[in-house]
Amino acid sequence: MKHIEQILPEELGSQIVDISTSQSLRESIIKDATQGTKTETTMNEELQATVVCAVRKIGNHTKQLNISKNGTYQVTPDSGTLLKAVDVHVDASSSVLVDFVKNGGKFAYSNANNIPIVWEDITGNNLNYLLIDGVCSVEIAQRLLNLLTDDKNYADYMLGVDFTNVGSEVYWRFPDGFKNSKKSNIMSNNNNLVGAHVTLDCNELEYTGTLFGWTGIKRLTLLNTKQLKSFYNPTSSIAIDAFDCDGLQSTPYNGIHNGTTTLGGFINLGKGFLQNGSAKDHTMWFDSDMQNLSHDSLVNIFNGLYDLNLHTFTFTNQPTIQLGATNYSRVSAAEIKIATDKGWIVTK
Amino acid sequence: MKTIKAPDGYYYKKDAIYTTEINLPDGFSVDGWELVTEAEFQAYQREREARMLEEELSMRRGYIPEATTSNPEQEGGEG
Repeated sequence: MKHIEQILPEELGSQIVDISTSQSLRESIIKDATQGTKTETTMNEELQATVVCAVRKIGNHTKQLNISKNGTYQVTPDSGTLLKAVDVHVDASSSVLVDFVKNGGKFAYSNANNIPIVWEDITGNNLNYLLIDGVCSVEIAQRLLNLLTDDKNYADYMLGVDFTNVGSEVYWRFPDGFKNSKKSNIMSNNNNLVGAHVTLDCNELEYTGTLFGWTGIKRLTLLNTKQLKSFYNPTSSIAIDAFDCDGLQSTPYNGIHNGTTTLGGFINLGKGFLQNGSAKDHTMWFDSDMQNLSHDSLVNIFNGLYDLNLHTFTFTNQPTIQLGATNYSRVSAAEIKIATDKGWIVTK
Repeated sequence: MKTIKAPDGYYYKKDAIYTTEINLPDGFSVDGWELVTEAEFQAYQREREARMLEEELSMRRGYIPEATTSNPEQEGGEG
């Protein structure tokens, strides 16, 4: 017999842990949330292969998935595309590997060397390498995020989330747990999002990391994002209508990679800048990267900037656009004046 | 708008910004910018390019699924 141990925190209140959709669990978990009791249930060993993954947020906590002492404990979704809302707590006391298996194939795993034994206690720690191997849906990925990120500082490297077939409007909202998080790197594998308007709603996330290999995006809206480390496109140029940057407190670090020719600009960049931000935070660099920007793209950038004169304060370091010699030669003084009239310094 | 040009062989420098030409909004001056030699700028460029290369390699290393270590605090540093 394998044991599934369900710990019900007091914060659960009257919330129901829904396992009714699982066809493989024969027993139900008695939910006695008001007393915060620990309840155990068991399942037959032969049903192990069809146990549905345990990904669920409970109250203000994310339910932990711990690992057995004997190595990998596989938690396998059913034949559908969605993980079921069953919480699984497997007793563990040593460092092992987490596997998520779909139809017999591992689609996500994490090296347990970086995972504390009790995930509820990882506040302040770095959860490295949640690897999603290009076959899981956004729905599954977000459920995994719910599992992993509540009340944590940041999760690092969520790889290969496949947005390719989710349509022209891609809305990625980080779970509520990210509200208390600080950072997340997002590195998705070869997502060719031709014509898509991607909205990242980071829910007050301070820092969104590299968007690796995202191509074909028409527009990227950054909601509630204070920093974007970089939009990193290593293989080809991109054409993007615009980044919506209202909430950014600093310029996108590293900007957009070389090769980019067509860009709609960074809409409202500067609106979220802090009065005492550093010179680095307030400088948009085009001098070493992005020397292939078209004339129209450069003008789009000027047009999209936020009018700094609307701020009620004076910046310690006035926001600056560093064009580099090549880009500088593509624009006229009158076009540069579009930016300076908004209070931006424009340098060669 | 006021355009300020550095003398030949010199760059204006402010923090990590090096430039030969500055376009200032009305009411702003070049106070806070210092003149440095081209040699100093070139040295800065070499150091910057090396750092950017290392950051790119770091990101590619991080992309290897078997990789087990990372520290975004270090990666998110200089611009």
